[in-house]
Amino acid sequence: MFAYVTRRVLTTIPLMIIALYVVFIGVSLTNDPLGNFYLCLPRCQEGYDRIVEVYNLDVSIWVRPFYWFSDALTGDLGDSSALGLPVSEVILNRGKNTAILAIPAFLISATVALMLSVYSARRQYTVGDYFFTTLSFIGLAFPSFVLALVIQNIFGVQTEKWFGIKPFNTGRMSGDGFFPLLRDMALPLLTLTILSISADSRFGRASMLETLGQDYIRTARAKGLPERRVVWKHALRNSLIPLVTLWALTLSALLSGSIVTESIFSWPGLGPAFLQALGDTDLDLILGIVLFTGVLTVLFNLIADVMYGVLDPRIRLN
Amino acid sequence: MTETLNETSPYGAPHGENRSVMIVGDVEGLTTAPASFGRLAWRRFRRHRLAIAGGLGLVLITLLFFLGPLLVEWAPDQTNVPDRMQGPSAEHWFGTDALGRDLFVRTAQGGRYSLLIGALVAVMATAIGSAMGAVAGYFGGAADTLISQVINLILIVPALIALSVFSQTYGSDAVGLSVILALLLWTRIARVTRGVVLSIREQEFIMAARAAGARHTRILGRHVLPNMVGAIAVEVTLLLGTAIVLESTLSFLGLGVRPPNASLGTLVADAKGSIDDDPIRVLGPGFFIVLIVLCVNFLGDGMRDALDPRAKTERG
Repeated sequence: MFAYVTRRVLTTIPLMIIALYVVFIGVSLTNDPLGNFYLCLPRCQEGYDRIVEVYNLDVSIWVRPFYWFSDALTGDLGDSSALGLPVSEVILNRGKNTAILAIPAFLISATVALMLSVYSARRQYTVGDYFFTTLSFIGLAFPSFVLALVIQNIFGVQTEKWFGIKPFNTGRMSGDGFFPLLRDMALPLLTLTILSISADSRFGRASMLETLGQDYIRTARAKGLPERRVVWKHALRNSLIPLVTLWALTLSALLSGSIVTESIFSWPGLGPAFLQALGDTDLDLILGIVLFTGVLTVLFNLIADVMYGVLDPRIRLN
Repeated sequence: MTETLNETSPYGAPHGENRSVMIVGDVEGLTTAPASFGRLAWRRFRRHRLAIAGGLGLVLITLLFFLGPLLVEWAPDQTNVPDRMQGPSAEHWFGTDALGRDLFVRTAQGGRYSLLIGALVAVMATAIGSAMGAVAGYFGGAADTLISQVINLILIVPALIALSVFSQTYGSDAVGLSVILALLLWTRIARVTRGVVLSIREQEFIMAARAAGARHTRILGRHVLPNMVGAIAVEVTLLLGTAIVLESTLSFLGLGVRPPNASLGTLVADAKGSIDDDPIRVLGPGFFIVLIVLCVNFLGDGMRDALDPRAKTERG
């Protein structure tokens, strides 16, 4: 397995480099860091030269990404030009905020989705199944920004005393301490949870149904095992296999920061930071966040693959 | 051949025979002509009531967006400041915005734009995805490795992040935005197609075609393609929904469609500031997106049931 993991990581590195290269070129082609300098040129030669030096503007645009790569290899992701802070520090701080929101959102939605899929699968075509299936269908149709606005309107505007409503993407917090934090978290958490529950439970239901229809489940029932044991021990383990991939994707997406939900509820996470960096064409910060999300995606996919082997010993990683 | 064998259950009849049992209406199967796959699929699809409702809803929404504005006298960009920020009335069905523009006409225009982008993306992504998937699956080897790595490359960065980087500069109109969306969204179709082609390519009729001296292009076009249509059709429907959601999200963030054009996402973003006083104005265009995506998903679900007899677990 160690060889497998190593090989997977090694094959991802060139992909990551290409992705970052394309992003670097895409952003730099449309943005001139010297834009502010042309009008004042003779007077501000010093600043002009410094910008040229910092961004390596004296070399061709196609070569420039490699300077960034060599810096990144030494652990230096550069400075955010808009915030004046090292990119790694910004990502660390914002990432912490995102994690505060993402981890509970993931735990709640994974648990609820699992319960719902087991419920729906065991009572297929009953009223309860139709109810939850319809709900998840509706939930799936909601783009995150519409759902976030609906929730903001229902809970933030109508009951303003409880949750309050904050301006778009300002990162304003209610205050320090646990309860103000909870107050700020509640609505984005609700949005993220609903979104992932709808996606996961539909998938989970299908997977559970397929497992429950298999011969070994009939065998387990025939030999007299209690239904609870059949479902929660025998069926669950197999039906988890496809769900694990989905969970890995969900968690890596949540931890990369949900641009829309976090911005609408003004949660100071990675998503709004990325949006702001785009607006300011803050190249180093954009690249840093792309690198971070890419690493997260790869990491969690890898974890999912390793989990496969744990759940199903027939799957050999090679 | 091994792959098709694996798919049949070791105890039951192969799927081909199952299918013929369903076709035959009378005992001996002599009086009725066997139904074609298309007719069978249509029969299964018709039974799927939600899918019919979805298809009908989609037609109705499209008609509303295209024909509705003809019924009222307002032009989409006609401002009328004294009448600004009005609620719904007989004159202005959805009310007016901050410049006094009629919101129904604006919503219809935005909806047309969103549907147009969705359709463009669906067409382009399907073309790219099915071609790539077919080549990867049919030829295998280096082509397969290369295409798989390109897919991995696209999947490595979250779609919304990649989209926002490029759409900000290259995607301010329908065509540009559609191209960017299509370049990111073809991967799913490619993977599905690749899987289908991998199993088709081992079957006898392909071998027969090859033995008869057919060239690769002919085999791909005449023998492989018709067998992928079902799987692709389902993916295209779902892709349409994904594209509309992503486009409206980008436009909402101000990174997609830009003025003077408007899509449903732009309309929501425009009205976002007045959500305190007037939630309907904000949520109206938003609910149209939800409605469209809901219809599209129902349609896709029905098509999956109709076109793939084995996927019968997901029902309503």
